[in-house]
Amino acid sequence: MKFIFLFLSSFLLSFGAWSHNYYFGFAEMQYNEINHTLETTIVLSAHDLEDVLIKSKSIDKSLEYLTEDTLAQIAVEKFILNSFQVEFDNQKADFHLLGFDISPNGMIQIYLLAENVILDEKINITFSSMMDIFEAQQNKLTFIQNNNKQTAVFLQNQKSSVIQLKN
Amino acid sequence: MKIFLSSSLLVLSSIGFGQTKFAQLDIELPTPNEFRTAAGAPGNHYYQQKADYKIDLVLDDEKQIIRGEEIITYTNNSPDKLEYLWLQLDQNIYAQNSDSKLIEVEKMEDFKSINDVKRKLFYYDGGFKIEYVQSTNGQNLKYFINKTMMRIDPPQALGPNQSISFKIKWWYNVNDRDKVGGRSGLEYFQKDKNYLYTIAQFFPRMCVYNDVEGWQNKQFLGKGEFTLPFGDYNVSITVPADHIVGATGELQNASSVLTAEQKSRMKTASTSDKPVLIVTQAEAEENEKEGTSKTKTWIFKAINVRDFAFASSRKFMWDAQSVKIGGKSILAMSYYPKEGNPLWERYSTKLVAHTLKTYSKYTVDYPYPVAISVHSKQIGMEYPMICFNGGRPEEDGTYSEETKYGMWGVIIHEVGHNFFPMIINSDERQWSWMDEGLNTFVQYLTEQEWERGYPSRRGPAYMIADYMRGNPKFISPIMTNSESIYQFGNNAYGKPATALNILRETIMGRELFDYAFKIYCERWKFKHPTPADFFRTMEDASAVDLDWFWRGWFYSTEFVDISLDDVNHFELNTQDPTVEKQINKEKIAQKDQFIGDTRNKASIEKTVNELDPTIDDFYAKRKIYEADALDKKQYDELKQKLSAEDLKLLNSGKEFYELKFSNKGGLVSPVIIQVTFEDGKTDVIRIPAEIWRMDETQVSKVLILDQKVKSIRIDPFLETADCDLDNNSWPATVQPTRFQLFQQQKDKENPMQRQKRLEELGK
Repeated sequence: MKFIFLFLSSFLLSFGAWSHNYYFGFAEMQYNEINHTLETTIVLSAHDLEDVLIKSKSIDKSLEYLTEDTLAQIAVEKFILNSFQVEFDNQKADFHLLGFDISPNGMIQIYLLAENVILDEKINITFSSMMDIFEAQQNKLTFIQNNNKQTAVFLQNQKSSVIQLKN
Repeated sequence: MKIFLSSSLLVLSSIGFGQTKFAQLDIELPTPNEFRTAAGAPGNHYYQQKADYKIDLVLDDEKQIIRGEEIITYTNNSPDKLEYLWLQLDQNIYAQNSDSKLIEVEKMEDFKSINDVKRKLFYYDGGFKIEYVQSTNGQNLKYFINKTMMRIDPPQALGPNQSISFKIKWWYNVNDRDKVGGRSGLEYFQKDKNYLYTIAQFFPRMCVYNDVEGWQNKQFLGKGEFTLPFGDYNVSITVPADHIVGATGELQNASSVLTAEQKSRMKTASTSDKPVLIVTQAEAEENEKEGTSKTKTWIFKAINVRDFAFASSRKFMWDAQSVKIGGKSILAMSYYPKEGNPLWERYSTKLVAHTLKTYSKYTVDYPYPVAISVHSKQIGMEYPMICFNGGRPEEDGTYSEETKYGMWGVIIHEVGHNFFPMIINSDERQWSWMDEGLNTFVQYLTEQEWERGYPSRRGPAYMIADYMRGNPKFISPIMTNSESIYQFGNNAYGKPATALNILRETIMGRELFDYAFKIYCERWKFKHPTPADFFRTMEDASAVDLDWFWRGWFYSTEFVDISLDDVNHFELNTQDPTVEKQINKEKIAQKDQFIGDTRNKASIEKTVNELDPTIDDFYAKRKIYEADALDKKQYDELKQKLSAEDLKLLNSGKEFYELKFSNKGGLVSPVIIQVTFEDGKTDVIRIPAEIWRMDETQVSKVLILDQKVKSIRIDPFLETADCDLDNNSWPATVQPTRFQLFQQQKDKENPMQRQKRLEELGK
């Protein structure tokens, strides 16, 4: 089989060199039944994400300086939506970025909103952020509906997960 | 609800459930013996080997090659005869056929870009090139290289209390960290065409032989770090004459390698409690302009260390200060290129000094003469007395808050590794958590003493909840071998650090914990502890049975989610008819009124029985909320039977609250209950985890209180790592999501917008 290069980015990271491995992403997604929206916060290591975006030349400095920068917001949105998708009732939730902020402890919180979402019986979630960069990356998502919480785990060999909704 | 007290005794029968969560760790832990006691201390026949090194090195800056020759003197303190000796050849992880490359799981999606392919095909001729292994009189010794390990067969087996000396000559190409990664290696600065070397794992090193594993026989695959015997080192390092070298140990020939000015500054630094520059930025910038073909040899001596590392560059600035610990003066030092400034000159050495002081307080007094922090891009790696740390400002000299805290955190962490595992020398290749977890825990304590409210990344209990929640089968127990841990950072660093915080703050209390933790450190300094030694010492020195805690937090993947399912309120019945009937009357009056009743009161002028007095009979006329003579007589008779103490209790006005809990996460935990009374005052009740010993899934507790309660919350101080706070309150309350908090913040101006308004006000 022949293969083509999908994009010419430069993900040249030094593996195993950093004693402070993080490699963990967490998402909190709540279904707002009044507004029919999925309100989502994704938490990742800001250092890891910066490395990726700087090396792909999407940004040229720390994200901490760029929380109000439109181009940086576009880069973060593009990166995250490439690896975070939600499907419901055979439709894809149309997320857009509301913003992001950086904690002093080096975590980035990325805020996403998808509108016009009417949930049925289940949702199918893909959450593979950073997995193509770090072999050890593992992600988790907690879904909240009617004060019920369900947590899904995402691994290298299990990048998608189905959550059966509790009505 | 009202309750009546019965004088009968309630006899609770203990139900014989499995009690698996509270079972002792009898099977899991090794049987105590003469080498390691049941108390967790070294036994009366504890032994450990010694490996002394005399090493001569040359750093070839032109070709980026390390060439070395060493004489190892190995002393067998074990009771065993050793037919062969094993050494570690960690550089062989970069050999083309290394196992670490072969075991890397790959998919076609890893090759999305041309650079991905280039990285995979990048050729680096790594690994040790062993030139010879000889006896000290020059006779070749038989040896065999098994990937990252080398076996040497001595002419005769090495008996107890015997020593052997032998020579090894080798060289290797230094790895470029930007291209192949690595804990040590070089960084190339394109602008001034200079190299900065941070060199470690650069020589064949003796493996540990001990009572637990015999020879350490785990190959170096990349994650599990090192396990090495203690010994003395005499190391000479020949480098370009314009290089500055920092290394494990004390410099032995300052008069040959330092200028008179540098020696004078060093003398000032040795008594200064603030950093003093030995090499200034201007001097370093001048130095890096051109190279030299001349060389200098720096000689270092280190006593009772498990390893040796060094850094060398013509780009280095260098500063130092004195730290007083246990009556000794220690030199805290930093080496950094100008690219590290302004952060490094301002903070690095002060952080080293603070870390030594704080760790010495909680563990053992820092025993070595120097402690060094070296700046190297994107790295955090530790060796005895020296570590290599990231945290680089932008090229224009600005830096983000995140970079500052990242740099602070990594320096504290890596300097802290001097204690775990360089002094308290656990086996990193088997158990990463024993050094990373314990170190991250003391790192947290050190950060909090550096700055109030320091935004530590790991340590506080609530910060581990996101990782621990969900299906427990997708995470590894802490007690997992270093190479098999999936989530290395959370598992080896975050979770054990959190567990120790919970022990200290919630389960044992600070006094008991700090005492036991220090005992562990004192017992095992300059020795090789195992997990059992740690578990046993913490129990033995505190008189707290922690087997359930080790079982839950270290051997399982369950998480804490205690739910407050139900609260029932009861009041004590005084039996006094005057009091009780009045209470009943008030309750009826307070009941919600049906709307028809309310409207009828207004619309019906008179009912039939109000108009016709013959309608109301006995039932209609009796005054049920008034105590009659019979009620009072019966009460008087009851009082005669009760003691004064019982009567006082009956009239005490105690409120009873029955709380029902369920354990939804599986991990048993203390239950911390905060009660808020109607007057706004609060009380905290701390129930030990043993409340779950008979039933691990559901328990109830009755609180007997002096006032009515307005609300109840469990884990109010976020100290148990409870993964779901929404089921912790009565009446039920829901914690806002991160998204909701963001939405609330969005409407407010940020600090910079406020500053702008402030500036406009001043115009």
